[in-house]
Amino acid sequence: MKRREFISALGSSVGAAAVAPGVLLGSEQNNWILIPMDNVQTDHLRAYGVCFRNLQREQAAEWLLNYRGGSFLAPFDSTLERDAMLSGVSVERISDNQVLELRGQIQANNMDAVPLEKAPTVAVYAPPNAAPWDDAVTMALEYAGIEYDQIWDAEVLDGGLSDYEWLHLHHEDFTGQYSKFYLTYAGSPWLSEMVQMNTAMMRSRGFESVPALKKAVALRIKEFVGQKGFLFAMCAATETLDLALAAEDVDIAAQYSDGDPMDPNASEKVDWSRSMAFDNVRLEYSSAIPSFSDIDGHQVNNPPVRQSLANFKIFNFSAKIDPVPTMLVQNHREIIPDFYGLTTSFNRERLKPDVTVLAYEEGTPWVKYIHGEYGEGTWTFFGGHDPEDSQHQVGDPPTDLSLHTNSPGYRLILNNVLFPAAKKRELKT
Amino acid sequence: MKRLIRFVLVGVALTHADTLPAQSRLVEAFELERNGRFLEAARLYRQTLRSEPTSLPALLGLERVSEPINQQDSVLFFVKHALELAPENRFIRTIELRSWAAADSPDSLNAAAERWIAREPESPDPYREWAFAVSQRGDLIEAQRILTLGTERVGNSSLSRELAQLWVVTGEWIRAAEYWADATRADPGQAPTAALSLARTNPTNRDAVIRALASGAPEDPAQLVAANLLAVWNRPLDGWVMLDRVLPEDPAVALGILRGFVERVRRLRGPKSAKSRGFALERIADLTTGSFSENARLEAARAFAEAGDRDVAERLLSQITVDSTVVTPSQAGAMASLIGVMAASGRVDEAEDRFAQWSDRLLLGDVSNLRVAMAWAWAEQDSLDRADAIIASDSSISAMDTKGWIALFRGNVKDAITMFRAAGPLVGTRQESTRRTEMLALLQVVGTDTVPEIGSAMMALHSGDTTTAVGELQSTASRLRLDGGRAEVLSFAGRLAYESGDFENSERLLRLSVDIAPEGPTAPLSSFTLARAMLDSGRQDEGIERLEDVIIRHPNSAVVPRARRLLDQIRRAIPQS
Repeated sequence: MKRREFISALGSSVGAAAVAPGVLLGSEQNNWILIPMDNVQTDHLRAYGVCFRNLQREQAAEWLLNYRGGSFLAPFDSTLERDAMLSGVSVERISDNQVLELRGQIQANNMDAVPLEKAPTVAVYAPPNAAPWDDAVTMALEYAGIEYDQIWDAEVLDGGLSDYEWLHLHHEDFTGQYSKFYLTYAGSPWLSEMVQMNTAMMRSRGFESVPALKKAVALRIKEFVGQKGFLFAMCAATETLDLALAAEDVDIAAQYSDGDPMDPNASEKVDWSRSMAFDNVRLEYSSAIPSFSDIDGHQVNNPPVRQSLANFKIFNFSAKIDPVPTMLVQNHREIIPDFYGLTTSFNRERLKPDVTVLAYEEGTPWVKYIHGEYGEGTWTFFGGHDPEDSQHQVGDPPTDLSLHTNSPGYRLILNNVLFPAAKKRELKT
Repeated sequence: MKRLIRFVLVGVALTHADTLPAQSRLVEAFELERNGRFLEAARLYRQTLRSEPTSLPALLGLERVSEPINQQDSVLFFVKHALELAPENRFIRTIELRSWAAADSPDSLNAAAERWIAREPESPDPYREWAFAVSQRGDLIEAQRILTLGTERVGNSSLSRELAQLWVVTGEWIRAAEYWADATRADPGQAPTAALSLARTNPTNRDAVIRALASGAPEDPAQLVAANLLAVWNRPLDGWVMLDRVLPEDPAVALGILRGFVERVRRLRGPKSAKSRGFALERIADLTTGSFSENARLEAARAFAEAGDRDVAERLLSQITVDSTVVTPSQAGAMASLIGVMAASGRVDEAEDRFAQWSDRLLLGDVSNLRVAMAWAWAEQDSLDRADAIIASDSSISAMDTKGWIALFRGNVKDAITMFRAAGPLVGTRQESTRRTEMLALLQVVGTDTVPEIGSAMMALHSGDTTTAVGELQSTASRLRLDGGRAEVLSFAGRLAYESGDFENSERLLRLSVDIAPEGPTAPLSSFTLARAMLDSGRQDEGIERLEDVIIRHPNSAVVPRARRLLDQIRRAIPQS
C-alpha cells in the first residue's frame, strides 16, 4: 500500500515561504511567535489547542518536526498571544533573524517544517450518555479547547461521517458484546443503560442483533477512512473495529449478545483481507473472559496470561523522508510509562506487513502505537485507556488534565488531531 | 570448542544429579528454580517424582516451573501416578485441579473435581479448590456456581467466605455482605477479614450492606462486622452503639475487639470519633485492672476532652488516684486536655487555677499551648490585659503570634508588626499562617503606629461579626492616604464581605480598591475575588472577562493559576471536583 503523499507548497521543505510574515527578512523586530514544545513548555496539551484555534482563525503556522520537541511557529498575532497567555502556554517572541537561524538548524538536522493549513473538522464517536471524562481523547480535546461533535450509530449509518475530516472512536466494542463486561458487571446500572441504548438503536435501524448493527457501523467507518478520512482509535475500539470488519460474515459474538453462540470455527472463517491493521488473529471463545483475541499482548482482564506494565519507546523517524509518522510521534520524551486498557498493546505477529510501528516496548513481542493507510485515508491505533491513569477501572474518578499539563502520553493523542492540518506535499523518496 | 566444553559440563552435571539422593536433588532443584533455570529444575523435580511419586515438594515445584517453560501438561502425568498411590491426599487433588485448569481442559477439570467429591461427599474442600481453579481462568460466574453447588450439597456455611469474596470481586456488595454474615456466624474470628473485604463498598450500597449484616439476632456476631464498617465509613458513634450491643462476654475476646475498634476510629477526625474512642477506652478500663485500667481511663478522659465532653472527662479523671509526686505522661496529657477544654468553654478562671496546680508536672509543650489557649480565651472575653499577662513571660513563637493579635486588637499596629515578624511563618495551621502573613502585609502598608479602628475591626472579625468588621475597615480606609494602604484595606474588607456572602458590598469595595491601585500588590487578588463575586451572582460573562483580565494583566501573580483553574471549571475543560 502506498504511503499518503504530501504535496509541497513550494520547493523548500523547511517551508520558508509557507507563511506570510509581512515583514522584511533580516528585520530585528520580533515578528514571530514560537510555541516551544520541549521541557520549557508549561502546558504541552493546551499548546495544541492554541495552535488549533489559530488555524481556525485561518492564520498560518508551521509544525517544526523534531525541533525542540516538535514546536510550532507562527507569525506574530495578538490574538494568538492572548490565547496562549489565557491558556497558560509558554510562547517566545522571536525575530526574523532567529527564524532564519532555526530554519538553518532544521535544514542541517533530522528536522523538518510542515506548514499547517486548516483546522480539521473533528468528530468523536461515542454513545449519547458518555461523559467527556470517560475517554482520554475527549478529555484531551476538552482540556485543550478543541471543538468537536459527538456522533453515534445513527449519524454514522446516515452518512454523517462525510461532514468530518478526523474521527476518534470512543472505547467502543464493535463486536457488539458490551466489552464482554456482560457477565462480570451484570446488574450494574451503567451496563443496563448501555444494553438498552444499543438494543433500541438496533431495533430502530432494523438490525437483527447488536453485533450486526456494530458490524454495519464498522463498515461505514472503514469507508470513511478509504475516502480520505483520518481515524484515531484507542483501547478496545482498535481491536474490535478490525475484528468486526474481518468477521463480516462470521458470528464472533457470544450468545448473550445475539442469541446464538459464537461460531466454534470463527478464527478459521474470518477474512483478514477485510481488516485494516491485523492478520491471522486467534479469537477468544470464552464469553466469561473479558478479552477478544490474541491481538492484545497484555490481556489485562485475563489473569493467567496478564502481562505487567513497563515503558514504551517512541520510534525515531526521518523527519524529511517520513513526515507523517514523524508528526505522530512528536514529543519531549522518548520513553513513556505504559498504561492498561481493555486492549493495551498489539502483538507484533498479528500486524499486517504494511503497518508502521510508532512506539513499542523493547524486548517484548508487542507494540503500543501503530499507523497505516487504507484507501486514500489513514488510521492510527493507540493501545490503552488513559495515559495518566495506568490502571483505570470502571467507576474510578476522572483524570484532571490540569494536573498533567506535560503528559507525553496525551501529547501522542493530540499529535493526531493536528496531523490532518498539515499541508500535503510530495514525499521525497 | 567452548560450546562443546559447556555441553560436556552440563552433561556431567546432569549425570551427577541422577545419582543424588532424593532430598539433595530437591535442594538442587529449588536452587535452580530460584535462579530461573526452570528447564533444569523441572528435570530434577521429575527425577525425584520417579523415585518418590507422592513427594509434595517435588509436585509443587514441577507445577511452579511448568508454567514458564510452557509444559503444564507434563505435571498431569505425575499427578495421576501420585493419586493412584495416595488417593486420599487433598494436596495432590488440589494440584490436579489446578493442572487441568492450567492445561485449559474444563471437562477434565470438572471430572477430576467430581471424582474428589465422590470420595469426600461431606467435605467443602473439593468445591473450594475447584472454584479457585476456575476463577484463576477468569471465569467468576462458573466459580460462583460451583461454590453455590457445594453449599447446597455440603449443607453448611463452610463455603460462605469464598462466595463472599467472589461477590466482592464482582461488585455485588449486598450479596457479599450476606455471605460474610454467614461466614462470621460460623466463625466470629472472620469478622476483621469480612470488615476489610467490605470496606471498599461504594457509598450508595453501604446502608444496604449494614442492614444485611445487622439483620440477625441481637447477639449475632455479624454485627461486629457492621460495627467496624461503620467506624471505617466515618460513622464511629453508630459503630460504637452496635459494637456495645454485641460485645462478647468473654473479657479476652471483648478486649481484642475493643482494641481493634479504638485503632480504627483513631484514624478518623472530629468529636464523634473522639467520643466513640472514649466510650471504647472506658469499657477497656472497666475490663482491665491496675495500670492498664488506669491508662485506659486516662486515655478515655483525654478522648472525651477532645470531643468537648468536659463533664465526662472530669468524671473519669476523678476516678483516678493521682500520686502528686509521680505523674505519668498520659496523666499529664489528660490533665492538659481538660484545662484546654475549660479554657475553650469560657471557664478561664477555673482553667488558670488548675493550670497553676499542675504546670510543673505538665509537658513543656503543653504548658506553652495552654498559656496561649487561655490568652485567647481571655481575649475573646475582651480581657486583653489578662490575656497579655498570662503570656507575658512566654517567648515561644506561638506566644509571639498571640501577642501580635492582642496588640492588633488594641489598635497598636507597630507592636503587632513587631510580634508577627518575631513569630515568623511557621506558627499554627496553614490557614492561621496565611491569615497572619496577610495581616502583616496589610499593616506594613498602613504606615501609622496606631489605628484603633483596625483593632476593633479585627476584634469584631475574631468574634464572628464580619458585617461590623467590614464597616470598620471601610471607615478606616477612608482615613488612610491613597498611598498609605487605602487600596489594601478596601481589598481586605471586600474579600471579607465576599466570604460572608455579601456579594454586592464585596463588589463595591473591591472595585474601589482596584480603581485606586490598578497595578498595586492586591489588585490581582481583588480582581480575582471580584470575578468570583460576579460568577456567584450569576453574571458569568462578566466573571469570565474579569478572570481573563487577571491572567492577561497580571501574568506573574500567584493568583493566575487559580484564575485559570476557575476558568477551566466554568468551561468544563476539567472534571468538576
